[in-house]
Amino acid sequence: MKFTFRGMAVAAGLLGSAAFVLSQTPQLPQLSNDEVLLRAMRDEMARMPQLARVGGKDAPYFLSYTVSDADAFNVSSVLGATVSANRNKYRSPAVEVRVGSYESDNTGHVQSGAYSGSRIDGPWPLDSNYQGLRDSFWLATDIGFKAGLESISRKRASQNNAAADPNPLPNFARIQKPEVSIPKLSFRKIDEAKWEQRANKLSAIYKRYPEVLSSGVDSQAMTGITTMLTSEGTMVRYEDGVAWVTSKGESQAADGMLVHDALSVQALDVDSFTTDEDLARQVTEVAENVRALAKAPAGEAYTGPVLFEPKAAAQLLAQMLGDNLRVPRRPLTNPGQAANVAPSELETRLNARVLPDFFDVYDDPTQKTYNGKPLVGFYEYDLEGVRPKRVSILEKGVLKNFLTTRTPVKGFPESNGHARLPGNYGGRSAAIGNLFIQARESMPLANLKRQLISMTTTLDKPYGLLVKKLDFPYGGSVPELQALAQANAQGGGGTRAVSPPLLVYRVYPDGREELVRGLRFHALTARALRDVIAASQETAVFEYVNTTTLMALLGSGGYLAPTSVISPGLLFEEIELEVPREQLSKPPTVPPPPMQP
Amino acid sequence: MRTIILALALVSGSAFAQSSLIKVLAEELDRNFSYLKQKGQPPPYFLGYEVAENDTDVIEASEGSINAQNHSHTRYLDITLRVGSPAFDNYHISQGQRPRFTSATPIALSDDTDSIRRTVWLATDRVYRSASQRLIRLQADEKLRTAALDQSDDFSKEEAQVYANDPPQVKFDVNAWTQRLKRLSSEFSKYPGALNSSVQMEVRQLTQTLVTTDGTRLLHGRPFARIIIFARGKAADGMDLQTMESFETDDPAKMPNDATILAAVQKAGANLSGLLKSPVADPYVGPAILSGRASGVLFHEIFGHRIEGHRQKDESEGQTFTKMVNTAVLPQFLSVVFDPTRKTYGDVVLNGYYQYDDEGVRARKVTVVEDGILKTFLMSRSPVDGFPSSNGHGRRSPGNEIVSRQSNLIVESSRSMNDADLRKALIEEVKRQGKPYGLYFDQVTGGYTTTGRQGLQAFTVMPLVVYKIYPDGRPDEMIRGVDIVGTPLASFAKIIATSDKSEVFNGICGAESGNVPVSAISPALLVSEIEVQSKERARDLPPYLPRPTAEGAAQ
Repeated sequence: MKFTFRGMAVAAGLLGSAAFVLSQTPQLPQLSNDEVLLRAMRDEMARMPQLARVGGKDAPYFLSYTVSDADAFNVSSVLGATVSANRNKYRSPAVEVRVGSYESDNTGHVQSGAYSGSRIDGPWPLDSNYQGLRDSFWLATDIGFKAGLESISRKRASQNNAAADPNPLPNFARIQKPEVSIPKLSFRKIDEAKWEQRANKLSAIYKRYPEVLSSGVDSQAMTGITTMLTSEGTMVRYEDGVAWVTSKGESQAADGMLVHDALSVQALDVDSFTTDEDLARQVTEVAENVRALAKAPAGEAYTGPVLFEPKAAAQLLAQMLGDNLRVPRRPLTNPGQAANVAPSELETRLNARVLPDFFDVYDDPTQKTYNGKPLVGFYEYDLEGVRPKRVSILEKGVLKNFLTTRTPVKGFPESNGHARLPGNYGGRSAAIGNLFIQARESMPLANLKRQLISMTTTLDKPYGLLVKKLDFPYGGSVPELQALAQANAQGGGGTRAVSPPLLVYRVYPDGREELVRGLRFHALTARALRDVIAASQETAVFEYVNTTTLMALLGSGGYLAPTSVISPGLLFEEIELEVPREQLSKPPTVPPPPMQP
Repeated sequence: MRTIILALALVSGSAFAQSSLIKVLAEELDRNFSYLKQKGQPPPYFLGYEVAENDTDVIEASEGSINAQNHSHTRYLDITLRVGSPAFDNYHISQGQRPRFTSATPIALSDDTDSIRRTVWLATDRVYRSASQRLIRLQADEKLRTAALDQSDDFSKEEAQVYANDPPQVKFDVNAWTQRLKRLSSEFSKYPGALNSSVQMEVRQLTQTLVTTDGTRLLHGRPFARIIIFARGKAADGMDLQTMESFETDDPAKMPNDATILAAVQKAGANLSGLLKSPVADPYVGPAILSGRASGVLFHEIFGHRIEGHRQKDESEGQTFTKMVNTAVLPQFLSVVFDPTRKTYGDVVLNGYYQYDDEGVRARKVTVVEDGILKTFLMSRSPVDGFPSSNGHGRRSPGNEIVSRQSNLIVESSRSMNDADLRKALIEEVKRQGKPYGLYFDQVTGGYTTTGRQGLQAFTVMPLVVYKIYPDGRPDEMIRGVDIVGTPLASFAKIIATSDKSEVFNGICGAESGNVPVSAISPALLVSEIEVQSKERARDLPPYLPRPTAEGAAQ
């Protein structure tokens, strides 16, 4: 579990109307003396049967302790100067207590996880202090257990008024064989000076672009180790870091429209980060894009064929496909009460065509590299300690599978190891790792562009549109993101707004490309994928850090799931783009201060 | 360390050669101000840039382990931009709405000209937009309303201040303190009732830079160092209990020795153990003694917050004292002084010490109550009727707009007696009123008060350690679960006498303009009547299982 701030998650539990209580005996390992953290986990877990005795009929049946240790260095820089630099060592514990049984426990109710008592757990020792750790697990388990008892009784109260579900799903999927792997690991070294200099060098690039009004570079070098022990016998330890550089630039066009571009570059460890030259090239590209966008004409509403270059197609599919591959489980509520669940646009489309029949799509987090380059979507275990599986998602364009966690959903009783983000109601949320979009039929991108031109000529349009980059992960501000989500909901878009295109070009019949700014998709949903008519031979690997925020908002914290999407370019028969009607602000009264490049 | 105090007329450019931050800020100040004066509609009449630089180390230890260790270095810019005129500007309070234009903008930690000027320029643009918008709206609205009761200006004229003193840099040996805190915190393992506990050390170096279009150029600051000892437990009935001890000074080297800190850890542990066993107190009205520290908090809450100048002007405020200047508000034997220029009291370094406030006004001693008579209010540059000038109490933490705030509150008494006599007087009062016991409030964590007109004019002080004092010579009995409640004017009338020794409560005060360091110094107070109410309490049980022991570990 990658985690950017200190915090703690607790889930807890219940069981239905079992006539007797069979307390689970935890499966506990033998450990050498130097495994202090694991010994503290194991020894506190050994007291699970004692908890069963005090809990009455709702005994704990599953206990899970996860501790993520991290050492992180964050630095922010503006125009060549450090604005903030922080080094933090932290320990993020997650204690999960499930009471009841796999079939029916404390999760899956609209109030699951809520706890009304006072929190007396913590603070957690950062070092290997056995007694301090024992005390911390003791108090966190106590609270988790009490929260579980509270949730299961609330759930039971709701069940009392609800019509019985004829085909109830279990609350928690069993696992076939617990994973056991505790390699010796140590933190990687973080060279603070190097990271700080890098950020300053990169942010200084913007000095050559005075028309970029505001700009900045943020970087995070984090090395981490996660250790997990469950009462089922899962015992894993794995390296869990992320190195990350993001940058944003913003400017204003003559008509007042704000334009921006952003980038996110990431690696799974501080040692395999890309070169400074490559970063400088990418930041320069952002600055150039902002400069070009500020000068570009405003786009006009358009309905017609649109070509996505491979990178833009990967950004599009990460959202339209990737985010819809999790099927949320609706929690039990009081009859008539609404629950806040973001539905998947694909959940009713199993065995139906999603893309044309020349496409296959699979997610494979076990793949470490692609064409010799490391993939950031690789991971060893998910948040539930399950080893991920390669999952075939679309076969000949037909939806065959979803990504699952240990919270069963209809038709998918088992986890395929994709619990990567925190979820609601005591469960986790599934997310993609390495998503591969493969086309059985393809042609060179140049041919696709010619096809785009011929389609627009046939349709008697002055130009077709070519998208080279989407605003994903979203690089705008939180209010802008909220405005987008609202406009999407009002305009008949999908359940989740898709980030707007950032670099859109008009392609004229003579092949000339002209950049336009300010367009966004209108009413774009996963259904549009059926309008794909061709794919390119060229593919791109697009990587980002997924979070629980919409459009993976750049700079948002919390859980991090590094993700890779590999896709060819795609030609869509018809996509609608619109011009947002927003109030624009006039340029600053005072001209910018002088700058020495 | 250099100290330079110069009258404005004598300032030469070289006086500030050593701070390029002042230079960079001043350049951008002049540039933005002159452009906005020419092109801005409406034009500004005042612009100020304040940068608060904090270099902070925090180490927290618990049961012999370190559980947090952080170092942070930040520089936040706050902008004050005024459009209109001093008589009526964008800060004018209308219908109780207090606008906020500034936001804490992080700027480069080095004095990098390009980076800082760009950031300052963008932030100024943002503030100018909202300031001008509000003024235009206010001017239109004002035509639709009846005149405000208080006709004073919105901004006072003050003398420009020029002063540069690089604050002393303290040395903080992180490794040595880490070892000390580990050692000290392990003492809590002797108090099993302490479910969690910590010993925390915080060292903060504050440097403030201010440039304004009045010509003020300031560089000053001070260090803070504090140790907070904290223990928390849960009584058998679910009540959460905590005890706290702290040490404050301005240099880690001046912290007391280990034996003294250890004694404080033991006191926190013993008090918690005592509280866990003690009976829950019933609501009570009767005589009591408040320790000097408890009295300091009481005065801070019930008095200090009500004499903050801006509340006298804001018609949504309760305005308890607005019309009481030159009348008696306290017993005649009490006076109250706010003195931010005071650095120490005895050997205790005071939290509320500063040289200049956040508006660049020189700190000064203000006698607010003299022999029971209210004389003035705590003033920022926001005038109120009859008080057109600041007395150096305009304060804020980064990201907030300035209002008048407290500094070092000092209660002075001319009717004092020693502690033994004060206790005798309490027992006499208990007997006179025919009460079964009196109360002694030893320690408090803090308190809160509501000053708004819509709420009750009431306050609460949260005691940590309270004793029943019996008139028949029985030993004092520790009790738990009560808060002091009351209303300000009624409470002051009940003060009978004070002790002859003052104590210092150093704390952080939170209000509209953020958290600012303050202190309150007071002798113990004997009151003829105080009211306590039952504390809200948690109902969840203490942990089901006993504290784990290494011996009981499964192998």
